[in-house]
Amino acid sequence: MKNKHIIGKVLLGGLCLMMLLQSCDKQEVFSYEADRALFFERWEQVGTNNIRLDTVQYSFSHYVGIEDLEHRFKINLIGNLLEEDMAYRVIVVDSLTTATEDQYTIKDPIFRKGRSSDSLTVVLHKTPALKDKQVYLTLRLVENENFDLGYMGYTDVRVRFNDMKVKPLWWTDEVELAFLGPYSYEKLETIVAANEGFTTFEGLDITARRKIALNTKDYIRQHGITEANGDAMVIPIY
Amino acid sequence: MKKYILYFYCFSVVFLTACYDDKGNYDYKDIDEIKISFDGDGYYSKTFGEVLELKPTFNIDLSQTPDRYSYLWKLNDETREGWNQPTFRWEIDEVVQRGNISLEVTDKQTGVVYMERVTLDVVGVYENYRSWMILSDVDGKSQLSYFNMLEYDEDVDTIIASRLTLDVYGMANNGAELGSGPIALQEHFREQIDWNESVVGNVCVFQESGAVDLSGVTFEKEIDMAEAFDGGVYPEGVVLYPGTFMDWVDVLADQEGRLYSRLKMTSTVFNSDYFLHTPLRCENETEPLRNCTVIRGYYRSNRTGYNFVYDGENKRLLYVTNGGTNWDSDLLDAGRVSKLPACGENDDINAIIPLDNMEGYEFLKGTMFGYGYPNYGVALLLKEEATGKIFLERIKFEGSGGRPTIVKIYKDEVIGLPGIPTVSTMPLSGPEYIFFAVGKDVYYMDFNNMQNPAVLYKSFNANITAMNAESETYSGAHMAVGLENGEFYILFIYGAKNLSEEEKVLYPKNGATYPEEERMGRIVDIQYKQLDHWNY
Repeated sequence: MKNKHIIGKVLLGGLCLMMLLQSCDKQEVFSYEADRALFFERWEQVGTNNIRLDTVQYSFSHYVGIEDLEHRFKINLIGNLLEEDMAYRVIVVDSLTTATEDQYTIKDPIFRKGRSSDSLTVVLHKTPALKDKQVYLTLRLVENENFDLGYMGYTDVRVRFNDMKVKPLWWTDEVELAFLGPYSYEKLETIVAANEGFTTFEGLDITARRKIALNTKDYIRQHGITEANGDAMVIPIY
Repeated sequence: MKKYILYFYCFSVVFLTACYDDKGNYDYKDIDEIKISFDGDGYYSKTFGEVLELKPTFNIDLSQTPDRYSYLWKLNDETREGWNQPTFRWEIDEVVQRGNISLEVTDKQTGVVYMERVTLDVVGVYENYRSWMILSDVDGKSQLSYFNMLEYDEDVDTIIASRLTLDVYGMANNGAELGSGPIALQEHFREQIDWNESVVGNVCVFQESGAVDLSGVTFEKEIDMAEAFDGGVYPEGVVLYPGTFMDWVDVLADQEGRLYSRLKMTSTVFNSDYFLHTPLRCENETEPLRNCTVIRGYYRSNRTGYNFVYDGENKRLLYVTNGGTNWDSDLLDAGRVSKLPACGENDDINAIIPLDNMEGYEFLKGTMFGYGYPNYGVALLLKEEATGKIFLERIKFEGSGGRPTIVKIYKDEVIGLPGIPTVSTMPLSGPEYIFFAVGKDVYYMDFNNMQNPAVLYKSFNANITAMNAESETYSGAHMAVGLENGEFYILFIYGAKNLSEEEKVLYPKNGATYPEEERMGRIVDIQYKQLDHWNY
């Protein structure tokens, strides 16, 4: 019985001691001055849709007469803004890349001073090999003396590209039904020919889309253009 | 021992209750229960700005002991200063939808509260049923006026109270001028955001100085219609004329009958996206349409799915499609202009004027009507060029969703008119008559006796410049008439052939001299204000 009281007092004393000692513990306060980190932006909200930014696709066939396409991946900074431009490091992930070195150029990865976000620019080059196949290029942020890595899973970006005659992603069901009709490569070439500077329907309002479709409709009529098999090239817009 | 003490306490409590002396009074007697009543059926419909007066009646005379009772009136359970009298008087200063006015009478002697309530709707000042908008030319300037029946006795078809407000646009827009060169009015609608929403249509005023779109609730200007065109400007030299505002496409005409259109991203906004400068073409044709008249239809386009167009260049009837029929794209077929066949399967081509070729006829007027969803029609008033004879061709259609099918065509000669009608109108739904204006006189033709000559209905003291039949109710009982001298009349037209002369004019009171202060220049157009139209 007596032993029981002694054990209880010892346990209580130990608990109090631990509580007292805890107040002496010094914890390192995280300071943004200590580290800077980078990560790629992954999503963008466009209207009600989330658009994926870290994986993009291009076909040179959608850009008639264009030999080089430039894409910018958005990259964000964690930590204080820079007081001078600083280099960060990006590597090509060989195991996740099929593009050859002549098919792309990575511009100098410099994060500019005074900015909370910047962009990594990749230039894609059109080569004959892209006519037959799609290649992909995977880039990865790695630590260097200036920057750590930001969030897990936000270090890689990928671009898929080709020069094949494939239907653009923006040629959706609604675009097909209301504006441009069924996709054909010849029709895409006609749209580009009828609308100087045209590259995509994405991000355009109804009025701009309608003008492009009507211009194409007129162009088809004026030039007597048909589909490759001789069928009428149909643009349903009015 | 402790146990016995506990038992003792418990028994003590039980036995002590027997000593309780109940001093309650059980000699009940009836008190005078008050019953409150109001005139009518307990429902009141008022307009913002009017005065609501309620005089309740009681089953016992409370005035004999005025100090004994107190009164409290509440609007939707909230009272206001001064609402503590036996009668209620409120100069209405808020819009109320299905609200209630309650009266609480407290008997201060007994503390009993008695309550009764009535239902109240208060509409905005420009949201009355049976109201018309009037566009007039006052020394070249446009003026918009508004006539509303504040109170109407349906049993005896009499206007109890009405109000004619001149220059409502100026009132609503800090005295601003509407514009000049008035042409026409057109009310247009949008889809509800949810089913509970009550949508009051916007009002587009067409005039040579440029069309403007107004809120139908306040008549405040919302936009210049030029802003609704691509680039914020009209195509060069264009003066806009009415057309059709549908859910997914709006089509407006110009002074040369070309048609301009805009596709809309959403049907729940009055003005979204932009009209292109490129005029519409008929399907599979290369030349833009010209000399077209959009036959104004009052039906909501999500029910009809199309609107008729008379093509004066090619003398044929066309229709333009709304869209909204495909799950994947509401814009599929929006703005498509299609031809109609010469006639329907049941028609004798020799007995009608072919819809695809009206060569030899001059188009005078077109009106859309309906006869129960999904049955719609269009009435064409045509003059035979060789003989000068006037014909009314009524085409009945079936079908909505942008696919009208001809059911039957009726061609009738209009006889008995002393001249070419300048204006015509007919009730919207299931019409039994069509009304014509020739000079100062209104004539009607009875659809049940089309072989009979037109009948003179009413004569006025000046040329008739505008007429518009009511389009809200099924009976379409009223018709507004505007004159060259600025006078405005409401005629009763239901059962027109059976009405006595005294029954025909409802406003101004039959026989009364037209008030000088109510003249409004030269009336150009009158449109029934439909509010939200569920008239399919």
